[in-house]
Amino acid sequence: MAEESLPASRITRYHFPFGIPAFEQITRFRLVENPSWAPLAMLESESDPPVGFACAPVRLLMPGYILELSEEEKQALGGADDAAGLILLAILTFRADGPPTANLLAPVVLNPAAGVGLQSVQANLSYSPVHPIRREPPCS
Amino acid sequence: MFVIRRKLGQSIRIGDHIIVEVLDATPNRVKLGIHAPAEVRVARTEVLLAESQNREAAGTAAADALARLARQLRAHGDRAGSAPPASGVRGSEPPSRTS
Repeated sequence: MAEESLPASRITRYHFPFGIPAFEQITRFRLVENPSWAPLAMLESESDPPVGFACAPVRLLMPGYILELSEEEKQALGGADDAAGLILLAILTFRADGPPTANLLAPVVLNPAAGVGLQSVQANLSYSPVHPIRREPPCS
Repeated sequence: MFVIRRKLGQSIRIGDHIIVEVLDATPNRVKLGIHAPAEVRVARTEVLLAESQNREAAGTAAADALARLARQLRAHGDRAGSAPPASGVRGSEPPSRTS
């Protein structure tokens, strides 16, 4: 994602003890926040070759979103008892044949204080893995 | 779809090597024990959905598409009076509850 004209990015590294679904072997990621992409961010693996995911804040897409964490997930996140201090992101899929979509079924949960993250697959199937993001025509 | 009623502690057998047992049941949740050969993958449906979606999402975001969508989201946030926090992804904590 590097681009010469972009302003400096803030990079935060996270350990994903379980990897993420389909990429369980990748346990080191970094969150790249660039002012040009705000409020979006890139979650990039530190593997070779790297794997990158565009992400958006879940609450921006669905303000009333309710996250359910298992006890195992809470422990993995450093004993988080509630969502305070956690970052919740939806992985985006950009499509050639339609608007981008967000995976609300399996949000990425980051605990910056502990440097730990995971992808929490929710049991609530009313949260879509392909939640459409409205694409508006560019301003003239 | 094949439908069968079972009580706590009872089980069903699928083929010669897979046994599904009802370990616990509440009005809202059923706990199942599954005996299956190691080569048979057992997974929650939503995990398979997440895997499929992650494979599809990986590497799909070009920098220009990302910036374009970001501009749209910022504009929408400004119009709605709920512009995203300056730090971007932070401050986006939803309510949480224990499953």
